[in-house]
Amino acid sequence: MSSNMIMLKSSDGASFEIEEAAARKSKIIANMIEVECVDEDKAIPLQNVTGNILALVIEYCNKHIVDDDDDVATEEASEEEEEAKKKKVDDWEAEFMNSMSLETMFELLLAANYLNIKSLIDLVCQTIANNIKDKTPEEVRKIFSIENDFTPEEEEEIRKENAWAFG
Amino acid sequence: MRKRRRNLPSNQINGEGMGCEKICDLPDSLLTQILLNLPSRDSVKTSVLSTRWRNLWLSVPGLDIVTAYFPCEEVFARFMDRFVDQRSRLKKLEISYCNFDDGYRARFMELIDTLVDRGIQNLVVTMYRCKRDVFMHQNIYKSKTLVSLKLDNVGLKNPEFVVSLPCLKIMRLGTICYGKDGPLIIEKLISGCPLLEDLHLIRPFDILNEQAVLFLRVSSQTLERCWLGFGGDTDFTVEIDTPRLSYMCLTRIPSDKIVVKNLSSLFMIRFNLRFGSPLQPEDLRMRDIFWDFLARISSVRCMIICEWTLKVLSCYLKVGPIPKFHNLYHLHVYFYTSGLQELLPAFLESCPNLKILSIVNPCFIGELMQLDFTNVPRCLITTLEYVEIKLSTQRMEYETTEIIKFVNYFLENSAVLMKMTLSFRYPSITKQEAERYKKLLTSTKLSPTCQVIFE
Repeated sequence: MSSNMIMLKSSDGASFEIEEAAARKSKIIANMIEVECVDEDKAIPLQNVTGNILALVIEYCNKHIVDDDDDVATEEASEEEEEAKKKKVDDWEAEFMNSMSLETMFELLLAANYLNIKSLIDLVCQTIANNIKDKTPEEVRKIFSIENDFTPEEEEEIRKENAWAFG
Repeated sequence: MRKRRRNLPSNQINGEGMGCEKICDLPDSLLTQILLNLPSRDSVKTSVLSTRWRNLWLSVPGLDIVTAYFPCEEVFARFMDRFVDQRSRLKKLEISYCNFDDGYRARFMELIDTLVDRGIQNLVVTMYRCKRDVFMHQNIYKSKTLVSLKLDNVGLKNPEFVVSLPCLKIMRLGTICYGKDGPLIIEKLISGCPLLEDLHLIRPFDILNEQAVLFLRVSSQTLERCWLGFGGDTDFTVEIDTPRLSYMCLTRIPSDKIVVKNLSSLFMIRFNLRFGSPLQPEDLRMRDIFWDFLARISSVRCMIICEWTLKVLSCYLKVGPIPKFHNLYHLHVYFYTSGLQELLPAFLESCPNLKILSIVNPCFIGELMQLDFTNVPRCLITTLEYVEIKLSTQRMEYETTEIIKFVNYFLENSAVLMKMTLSFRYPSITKQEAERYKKLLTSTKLSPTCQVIFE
């Protein structure tokens, strides 16, 4: 498939070239393409996304656009192959998320939200949630550096309110 | 194009300011979305983290809850009332309901009723200690928002009007009816779902009167994946008419109780059959039904079966040929007990174009002598390229030679074999073991380039 390339420019001035098909993962960019306010020699400025985060977003989009294309092209592909492919994507996503710090995840989540990339929002939310699951509040505070601003009495009160959950 | 672009402000897609180092810097909408991925118990616990988190859990648009965590019915009722009251639009409710007496059940069903009316999208209700009088309200049959509906042990009554679930894509039903209305309710539900893609019917109804003869028709123009499991004392015939179905899984289906009308897109089938009572392959009626079933699925490309199914198939093979699976390129066979290897060669004869053969846990204890490989199946000579043998049980010392005999059979008789894999799990293979195996391998491979891999 021949694809147009478009340029994206991060808030700190870094430029990235990306296939249109990959960029369309972002609903907001897809919309811009639809209303034809994109041309090849001018970069789209993304003033809320820094270069290092935009690089991650583009890595994600490139990875997923290939897979989507395959879906369309190969009606013939077996369920088994598809399962194997899905596993490959899952493994890639796990590795991708594993490679970044929590701070990077928050920034990536904001960027995905701002660019409106649903599947990336879901992936990051799920990964962050996994850091909360089955943990005590003390552990969660520590992992996310959350400062407890309740008085001991207030905290006791809240625990009582839903004692079943803290059991 | 260019002109139009200039008319737009260059920063037109800017959002609010970024810069986020702490989780608390994320907007509420994203924090609640993170919490949506958690069981509600974990979500509720975040209320104690800090003032920022105090009430976030109340804004999560979903509930995923196991009632067993609650000390008593009253506490659960209070929690539900508070939570549902706050939520004008709950999108997701997943609940496993157990350990309470009858008091709250009726009110709980009312609550679900309210949520359905308010536009819930995903509803999963599993009741334990089933009560026959717990019924879903009729408005479940006309939700305009439901995308996924899974009900276990929740009674459904025969709908009084035409079912219309325009968004439903996934439906899973288990024991939703006692009595002869079961098939009717399910047929009405299926016919009311114009977008249905996935259907699980796992022992969908129980019939109290064993004399009743029931017939279920699964007919859908959109269905892509289907799981049918029947069990207990309930026997009935199922007719399948699903032209777009690509994956089908049949569990404990009596071999003479399944009728296929249309399965023209079938790609993969996984099935385990049991005999219709008692096995009589010479019974012409039973044989015809089963033969017809096999003929209708014969275009399938990937098949996963277990040794019991192989046993059923071989019984029929003894009294005459079965349809050939000309398109089948991957066959996957699971074994549980010993004594059935002789069935495999016979069945391979029905798969003339097989390319990949996977065998899980073949048992070799003293059985190989019976291995009837006198006629080499055609696929070994012409098409079989990969054989994979997976062993995941404790191996006896003396099995080594038996395993290798089996491996050598394929090496010596497969003309186009490219790869033979033996994978050992639990326990995994030691280096010495691998060496011992390698020494026993045949020196006369029919396909000289074939790789043998131990892993």
